[in-house]
Amino acid sequence: MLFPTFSFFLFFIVVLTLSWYLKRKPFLWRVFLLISSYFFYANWDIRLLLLLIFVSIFNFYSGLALEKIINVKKKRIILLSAIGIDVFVLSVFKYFDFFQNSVVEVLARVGLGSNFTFLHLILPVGLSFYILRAISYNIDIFRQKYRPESSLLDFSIYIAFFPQLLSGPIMRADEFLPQVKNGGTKNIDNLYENFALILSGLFKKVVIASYLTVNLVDNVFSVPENHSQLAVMLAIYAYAIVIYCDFSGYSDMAVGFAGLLGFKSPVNFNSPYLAKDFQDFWRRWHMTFSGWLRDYVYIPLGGNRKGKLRTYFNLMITMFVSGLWHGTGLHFIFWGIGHGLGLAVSHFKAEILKNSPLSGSKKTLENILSWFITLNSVCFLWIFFRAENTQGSLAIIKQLLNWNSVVEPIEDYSIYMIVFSFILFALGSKLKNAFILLERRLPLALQILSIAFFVIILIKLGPDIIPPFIYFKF
Amino acid sequence: MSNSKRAVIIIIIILLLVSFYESKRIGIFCFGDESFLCSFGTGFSLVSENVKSSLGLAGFFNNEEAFWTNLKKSPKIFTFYQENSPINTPIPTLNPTPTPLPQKLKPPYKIIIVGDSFIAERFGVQLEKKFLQYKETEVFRKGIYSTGLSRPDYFNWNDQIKELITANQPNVAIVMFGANDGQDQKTVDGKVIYYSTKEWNEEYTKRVASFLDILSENKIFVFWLGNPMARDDYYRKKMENLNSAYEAECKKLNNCFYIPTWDILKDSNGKYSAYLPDENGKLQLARTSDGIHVTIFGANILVEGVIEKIKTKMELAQLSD
Repeated sequence: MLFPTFSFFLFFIVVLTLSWYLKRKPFLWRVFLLISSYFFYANWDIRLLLLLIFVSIFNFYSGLALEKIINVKKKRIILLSAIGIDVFVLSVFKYFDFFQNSVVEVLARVGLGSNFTFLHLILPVGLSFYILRAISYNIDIFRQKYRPESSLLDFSIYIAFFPQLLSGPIMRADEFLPQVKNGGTKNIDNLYENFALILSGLFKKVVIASYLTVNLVDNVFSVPENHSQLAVMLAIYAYAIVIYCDFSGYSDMAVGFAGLLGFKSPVNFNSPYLAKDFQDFWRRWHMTFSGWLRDYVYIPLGGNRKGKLRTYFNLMITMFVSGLWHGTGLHFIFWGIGHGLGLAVSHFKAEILKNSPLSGSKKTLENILSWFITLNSVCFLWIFFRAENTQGSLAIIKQLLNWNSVVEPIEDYSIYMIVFSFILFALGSKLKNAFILLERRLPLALQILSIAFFVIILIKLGPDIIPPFIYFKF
Repeated sequence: MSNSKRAVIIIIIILLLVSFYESKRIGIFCFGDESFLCSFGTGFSLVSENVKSSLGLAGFFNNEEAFWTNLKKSPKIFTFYQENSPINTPIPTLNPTPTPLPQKLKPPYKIIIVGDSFIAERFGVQLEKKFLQYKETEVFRKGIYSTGLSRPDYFNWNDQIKELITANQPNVAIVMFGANDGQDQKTVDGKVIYYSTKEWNEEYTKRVASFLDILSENKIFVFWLGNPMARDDYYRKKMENLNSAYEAECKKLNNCFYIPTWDILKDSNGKYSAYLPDENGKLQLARTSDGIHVTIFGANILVEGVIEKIKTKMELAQLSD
């Protein structure tokens, strides 16, 4: 059940209606929220629900144990065991493909046949995200940032809350759990902002990401050698747009749907392609994930407190982990290391400018140049992220540098879409505010008609086929 | 009125309004989801279509759909042609009425590969890559997920193939459908023809024939690929039924060559196997967890099997030769 589907909207209408009705009975409301989230998840595959329940129960009790035990050494052992088990669960599902063939071969040799399709484990959708939530919870309890949750029900809602279950935002327990207590908020604070977010998410996904994926990106990235240099270059920029629209579109919808249920969620994206360096980029891109990496990987490694060289090393390790989290292929590692290098350069540049700051027009020129280099470097690194493997990444780069490539017609609509998208990224918040202002002034009937009009237009502008969300595979 | 009540009212009415207006496209927003929730959508879609017809609005909605389709087809001002390409020389014509089956087709070849998810991903990709290794061969691939010949209301392949022919001027087509076609068929005007009925078989056969007619009219030689053996009986029976329709229709034409792929991915016992040995005898995963699609390893085996058959009709010489 994906967000922009008929099934989801039908499901959401039922949940929204009953959720507000049950708010007067907080316990029932919480039970209902959990059941709804489990129903939503089981809709993918009921077997995956067992894993979600296991992770919830296990981390709930590890949190309680972390508070009960006073001895620091024992506490540390419990924390490491909890993190170890969480990472193990994630690794088994995420990295199983790495060694599955060997396992099958051994089974075949002992006469157990070769038709073990169950051995090809599918990555439970959302697992990478709810494991990160669980790990952050244990570390925060260990650091005594907050006390462990005493209600298994509330903790299970935190892990499984359906709008954020599949692809975040990765909320921290101290941000989420207070919103579940006492039946949560009694009204929706920013109704039109939530509608604006849902519409913006739908537009980004259904119109921009889907169109560019189906008509340009997929074809070029799968067989770059059969495409022109221009097509390859456009496909790289197009993919930068696709990944942003796909993921931020999902996040917008997640925040919007959670908002309609009365939950406030953190912002996950803030115009990342306007970033003036890599440091700035990671403050704007997948912010709840970069915040997680900062708090639970970079700072424990020593952050910037152990000298310059160590800072660069820590940045590289943090981004290496980021690459590994996205997948096991070497291409993800290259992507992570590329970003690590970018961050190290940003830090180095900041150090230099701290000693001799630029002023006036030099500063403006430096900002523009820095933005241009950052944007193109980020787009270039997306090649490694999108390609099926390292070989695929290199094939794209080779074709990008092939001045004698075939020449082919490029669909104008794709070019318009790329240009239009960059304009939209720059105007995004202004358009959102204009929509909110308009909706607030309209009577209910016109509100409904105007929103329905927007939805129909975006369906019309989208392609016939909507590809699945990219971040579901991570 | 509280914001929560307002939100509920707005979403309910919008879902009804949009689903009514976009009744033909509800299927798209099911993402191939066959859950009972989506069946409400398909039910509502049918009711909406009937209401639109009874109100005499069907024409309006058809024109409106055409307007948007045309709007999205902008003129190609960014079209370039390569002047020195040996392949972009005049398009060869095949013997228009070869009898009984044509002698080997002469290069150069302009090939289009079309079909569903098999063509959109691994197998299609590997097949396209394979053709790039041959002399005087240009290839264009268009695979679209979740499509086939059963649901032209959702995606109309007859319209699509006409556009692809105009844009690419191919002389060879490789076609593969079926993975999504074992379902109730819908006609363009919304009539449902239920699966597993005689009427369904007749209608599907007509659609295969009509698709082939378009290719024949444009003097394109067709390689129609059957579907490989599926794991589950449920799909296996569907695939067998569809494959026999493709084979039968293809055999009626002189410009069509049916390539069965059923046995290409079987194991040494002649049965379905998710794992198959590589050239070193080491088992590799060949099929995906759905028991239908193929991994890259499986795709490569399938490509080799298909190319072997295609070579009986085409003169494919390696670029390095």
